[in-house]
Amino acid sequence: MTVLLGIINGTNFTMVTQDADQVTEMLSSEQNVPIGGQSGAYPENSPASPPDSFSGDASDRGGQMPDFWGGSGRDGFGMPGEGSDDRSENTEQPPFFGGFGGKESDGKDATPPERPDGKDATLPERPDGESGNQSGAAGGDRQPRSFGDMPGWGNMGPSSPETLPSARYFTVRFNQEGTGEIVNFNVSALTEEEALALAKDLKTEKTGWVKTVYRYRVYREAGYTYVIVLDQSRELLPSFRTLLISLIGWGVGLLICFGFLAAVSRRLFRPLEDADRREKNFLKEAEKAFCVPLTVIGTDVEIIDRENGPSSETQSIRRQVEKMTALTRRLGSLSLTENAASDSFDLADLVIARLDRAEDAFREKGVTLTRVIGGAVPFRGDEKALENAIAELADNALKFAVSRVSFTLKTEGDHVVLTVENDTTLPDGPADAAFDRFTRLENAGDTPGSGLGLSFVKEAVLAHNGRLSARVANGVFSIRIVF
Amino acid sequence: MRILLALPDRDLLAGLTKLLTLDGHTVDPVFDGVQALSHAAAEKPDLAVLDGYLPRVPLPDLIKQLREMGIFALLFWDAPETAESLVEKTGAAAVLTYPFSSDDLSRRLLAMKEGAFFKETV
Repeated sequence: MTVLLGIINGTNFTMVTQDADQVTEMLSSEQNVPIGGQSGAYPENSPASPPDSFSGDASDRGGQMPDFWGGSGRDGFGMPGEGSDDRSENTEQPPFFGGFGGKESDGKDATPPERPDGKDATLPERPDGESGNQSGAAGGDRQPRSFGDMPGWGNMGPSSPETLPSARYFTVRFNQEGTGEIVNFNVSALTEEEALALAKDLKTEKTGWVKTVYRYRVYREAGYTYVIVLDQSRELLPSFRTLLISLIGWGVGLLICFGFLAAVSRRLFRPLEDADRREKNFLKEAEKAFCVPLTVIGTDVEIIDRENGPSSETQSIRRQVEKMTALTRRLGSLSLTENAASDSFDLADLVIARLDRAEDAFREKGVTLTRVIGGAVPFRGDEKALENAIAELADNALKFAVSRVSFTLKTEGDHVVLTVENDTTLPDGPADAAFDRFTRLENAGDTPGSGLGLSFVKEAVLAHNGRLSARVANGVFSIRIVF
Repeated sequence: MRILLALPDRDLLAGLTKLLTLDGHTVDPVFDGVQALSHAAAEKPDLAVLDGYLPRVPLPDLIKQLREMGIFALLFWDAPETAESLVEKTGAAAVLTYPFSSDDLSRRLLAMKEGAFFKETV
């Protein structure tokens, strides 16, 4: 297939069909459609050859050739009998630029390094052969003019007959001594010297990309190494544009997705948030709803007592009212943690102050209170909520301790750790259930309580981004809070 | 002590009226803000005891007008966490948060009579 097609204007310029073939292949690989030179696809003289393949006698097409191959009068590129007749020597050349299928076998045999005979009957007739002007300033002479006659163009998909003729490429041939020779030069961005140097670098390679926009292919034929370098910038530019558009599309798509997700998730999680808010509101509302009735009952019981003297019934009512009053206040403090204040204070001071106030109660019950509190622990948070939490912890420990309670406050690295321990009758194991609302553990018995105290502690700790856990080990119930 | 008692809850109003009367006070019971103002003007009570949700007259306006008559106000309120700010916002002399016992009320009234206004809530 290495067939020389022409010598132009005395410059020893040769056009190698395989070269063009390779270029075409490189071009066509974008579309995955076999083109130019894939003669196998079209059986010789087969009537089944694609109608657009220009196979067979092209002479009947000659008259139809459009006039856009300017300068054809001198190009000699397969223009039969026109312009370049003096250099046409090989009439047997395969009509790479002309009818392909019909003379395929001839073309394969003939591989002299000369251009094909312009008079080849298979080449299309140019209507304006004599009148052409030069096309292109650089290398215009060497522009292949009639690639459009390539068989298979009709199957090129998006490409048109202009695709190959408009290809910008150069070919350098190296002989065995490694001397380079420009076979074909049809690029503007490089000088011939640069092209030679570039090809020299590439000749040991096979195929790939160079200088970003050039694709190259190296092949060896008849003792020569050919390096074809094909400019793909025009192919790449739309690709980059496509890529850019795709990326923008992706970006927009992602934005839409995220927007959709944001909208949906808001809707999805709203019930949860609402439930949480409703729960908090419920506690608040419950507190308020109980406030006045409890006051009314308390007032009325007081009146009855004063008028009729105390009775066991009114005493019982009073006790129940007190219990419900305490419960109501706790409900209120549970909902309090929702709007946490942000104070700066010393947590150690707060614990000490709170335990001081509880000391009497401990003494009354005969429970030993031990404090292990080091230096100051600067803290930022809702002082009131934490004070209430410490009070609840002390209250709870006192309530369920057998004989001793200890409070330990220390810093571990960046963390503040508060541990509250009391001896207990509970079996060993985790006891985090103690933090659940209205939950009382097995040892609660008839100890008064609402099952709310520690749930308030939990709320307060979580509101301060702390963690807490409760467990029983070796008869000691311990709550560990880490801020 | 003459007390203007303005509470929208009729049961509480009746109960506290009776209890305060038993304690020796003179009580003017009313159940909205307009009545409270007219009674205050007519009876010149020593103290006004008001519910925080008294209808018909906004609380700050009511307390302001009472203060112009030289009458201090004790507020009954149901939210301990906002009690302090309520004193600042309305100009009430003191706040007592529900639920309270008759003892709580008696102590608070005694304290107010002695002129010591506690902002602290029970």
